Amino acid sequence: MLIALLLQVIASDPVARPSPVPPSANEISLGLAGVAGDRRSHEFLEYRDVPQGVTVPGFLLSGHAAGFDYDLAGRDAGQDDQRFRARLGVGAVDIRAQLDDIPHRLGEGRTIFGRGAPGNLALAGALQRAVQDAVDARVASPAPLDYAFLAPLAGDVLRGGRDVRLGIERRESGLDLALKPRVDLSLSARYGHRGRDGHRLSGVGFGLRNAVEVAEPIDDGTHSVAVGAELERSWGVVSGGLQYDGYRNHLDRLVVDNPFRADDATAPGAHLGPTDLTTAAARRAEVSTLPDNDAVTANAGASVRLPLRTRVTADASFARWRQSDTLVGITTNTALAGPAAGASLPATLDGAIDIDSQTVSVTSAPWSRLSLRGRVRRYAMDNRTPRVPLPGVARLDAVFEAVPRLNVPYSHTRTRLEASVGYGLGSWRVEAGHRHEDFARTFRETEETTDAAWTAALSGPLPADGHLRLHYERAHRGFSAYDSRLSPGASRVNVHPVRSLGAGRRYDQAVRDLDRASARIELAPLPALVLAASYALDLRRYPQTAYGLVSTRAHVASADAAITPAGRWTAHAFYAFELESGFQRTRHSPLPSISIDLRDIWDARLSDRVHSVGAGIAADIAPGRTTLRLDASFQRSDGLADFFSQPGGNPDLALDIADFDDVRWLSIAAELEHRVRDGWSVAASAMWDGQQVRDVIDEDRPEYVPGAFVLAPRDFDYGAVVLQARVTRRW
Amino acid sequence: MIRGVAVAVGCVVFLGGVLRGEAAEPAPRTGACLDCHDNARRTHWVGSRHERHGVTCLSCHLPHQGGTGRAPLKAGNEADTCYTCHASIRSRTLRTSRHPVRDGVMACSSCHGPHGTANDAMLPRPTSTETCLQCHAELRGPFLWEHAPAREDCTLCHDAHGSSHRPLLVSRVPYLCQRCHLNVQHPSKLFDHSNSGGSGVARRAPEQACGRCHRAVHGSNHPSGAYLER
Repeated sequence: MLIALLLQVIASDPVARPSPVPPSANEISLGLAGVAGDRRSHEFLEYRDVPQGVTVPGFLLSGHAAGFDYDLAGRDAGQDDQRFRARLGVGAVDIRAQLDDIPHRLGEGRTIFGRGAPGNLALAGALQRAVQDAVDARVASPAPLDYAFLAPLAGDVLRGGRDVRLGIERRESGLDLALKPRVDLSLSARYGHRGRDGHRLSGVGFGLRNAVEVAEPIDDGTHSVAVGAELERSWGVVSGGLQYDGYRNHLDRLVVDNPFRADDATAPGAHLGPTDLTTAAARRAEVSTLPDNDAVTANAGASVRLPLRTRVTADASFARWRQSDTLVGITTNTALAGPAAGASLPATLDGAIDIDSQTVSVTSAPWSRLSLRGRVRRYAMDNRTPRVPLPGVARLDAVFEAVPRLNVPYSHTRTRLEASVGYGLGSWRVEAGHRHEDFARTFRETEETTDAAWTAALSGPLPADGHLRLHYERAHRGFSAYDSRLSPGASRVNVHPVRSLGAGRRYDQAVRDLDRASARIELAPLPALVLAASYALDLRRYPQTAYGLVSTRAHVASADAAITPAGRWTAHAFYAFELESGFQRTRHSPLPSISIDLRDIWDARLSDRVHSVGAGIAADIAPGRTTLRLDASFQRSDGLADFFSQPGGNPDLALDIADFDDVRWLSIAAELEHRVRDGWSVAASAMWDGQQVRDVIDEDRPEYVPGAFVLAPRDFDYGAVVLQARVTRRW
Repeated sequence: MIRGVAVAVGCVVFLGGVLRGEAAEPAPRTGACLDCHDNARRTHWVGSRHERHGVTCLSCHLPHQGGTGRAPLKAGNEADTCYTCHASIRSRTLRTSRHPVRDGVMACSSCHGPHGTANDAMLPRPTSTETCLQCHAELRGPFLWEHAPAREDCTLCHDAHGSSHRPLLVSRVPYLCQRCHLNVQHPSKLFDHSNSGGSGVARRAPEQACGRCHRAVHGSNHPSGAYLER
């Protein structure tokens, strides 16, 4: 059918564009920019580039020439966050191109590794040898192998490293082609590429007491190709499309040296080290990076208009995900060569996931007061990745855990039925609905959960040109059986001892009661004044959960105001308050078996209180010539980790954390623009952006903490002003 | 972000448009527009969450009064238009850990279809996970060792609109992990103030926490990655 459509396109004349020819619109701005203040923190420039000196804030060239319509636009040309758009249109053909550079700066820290080949984080061999010898000598002595001894050695390792800048530069480009050979037929094609380059923070463990944060190199890209077609008829619309996405990682693996080992070794319990019992471990680790993958997605949809204001819509989507990257070896620790030799690995995983999704919905308004809606949806993710038998795994490359294993290809299917009825009572409207969903999973604690929800809504006018909207939802999720042994045991060939709280429940499957409500009111008490207020509540309780997430709640209240008293100036303001909290419980079991001492139970209530406020004003100081804009936004977020444990247990006394991702953020901006004469304008702007973060992890944290080299940058405070001036020419 | 004159005016006009009895009978207010614009991109408008809540074309667009870009919006930009009703989302996008919406790099339509789609939350793809994978294709897999919640639903751990807890987490690590992982030894240990700050901070304490060793939280393709450590 697609070929027939294409032939028809070739044979038919393009649809003529209606006249008149659109006027040209061109604009170019040149500017100067400067920055002053404390901008050391990467967060000042997290997603943007603030240059100093000459800038090209924007340009636009558009018009009509030689039968073509064209647009060429750009913003912040030459900067790390530059963006470009281009369009060329002739007749029924429209071609668009885009280029976006998106920085994501993640901070600066110190890595213990020197500069080397990409993907090879190496230490000087002499340094590894010296540290290993010192640690082995310590263990051979009566003195303990503790943080006080290791910290100076770690200092030697850190001095051999260097500062490193974390961040990912993302470049997204695309080319779109749209054809409209007939009024009722639209064809499209698209090619896109998304590339990433930089370093992100990750970690590698060599033992439970030896973890190293690293600046992991990122060099990858995704190619996307898509085609689509839409056919409009008097009775509705039919559409279809096909898309391919191919992700390619240019870094197959990451090899990381162990700062505490120069020789490969293993010993019982080595993965718990280094300890007074053993310092054995691998001298380096080979880590898998994210594998290449391919995805093909086909979708089709139709919407049919029927009598009695009835519409039937059907959509289907079929996706095939494949991953066949080469598997690395089971371990690089030569001391484990014997135990690991029994592993017969395939060259590639041949990973496969098939996804089928179908949705059919019917909406009808057979008479003016009544509206009906029904929807059936099925989503099936079938993970067909083969199960690979393994004689065991190398724990942190330190020991071979000879427990036969199979990988676990999780699949799930969701089937949903929903219906709603709406009725008009005068100028008010009331709606009620029901939703039922079955969620079947494989290899999880439950085979199937069932979620049933009832909804109600009321909306209508109020005096003073007002409006009120209320909504409430009540839902309950349950299951017929929950076995906490199923998921951990799915990867083990043989029965294994239980090492997790049997009464624990995972909140994605646990019995859950949900109450969600929202209210929104809008008033226009004066002709030029509009007020709005809203409140939303989300309460979730997991009543059968003895351990795990027990409850969450979220409250959001907001108010907005906008005023245009005389047409020459307008103002707006908003305020919002959010309170979110979650309550969870667990029992600490320090020994290899579950603790039966109830004093080992500890509770955590984690909460965030957030206040957001903003205001702005825009004024025509001299009508048609000079405008002034002022805008400010402030947010205060206070987190709290409130712990409780019984005295005498483990933990004995829990200490709350008050500085828990506490953030203050303020942004104030002002701009004055003046039209000097026709086609020329000048503008000056100033923007202050400041942030202050207080968190427990900031408290004089060294770069080597007990058991880990910590790279992560912790300087999130900044406060700087950006000054800009620009001249704009329009013609 | 500097707001132009059109923004504040847009807010007034927008709110006024919503006020004037549009919830009672949306069809007449959208019918004229849908006569021409009822194509595949607006197939799901009728019966959509917006349409059922009384939002009409004029609630967001300025069809004849000029505006910005291809689809003239009353509030001057897309995010401000959406925030007029979705005020709670505005607060989240201002959080310190966020997608770059407040920075002008992304917009609400980067992940949602405001004219309606076949999917929940007006997502362009059948699930939130498939929507996320449009930009984060590196996490698609499938992997040799899967992390079940990551395969099932990204929003079990992440809040895509914004969070106080990096990276866009619904709760801070390690406590987020400890909601599900109730195993003996270190997964069940409490990391309170005594071992979360200063030189006494434990290697599994807040910040990267569990991820220092369990680096492959979205899935591992390493034969020894059963614990997502490789």
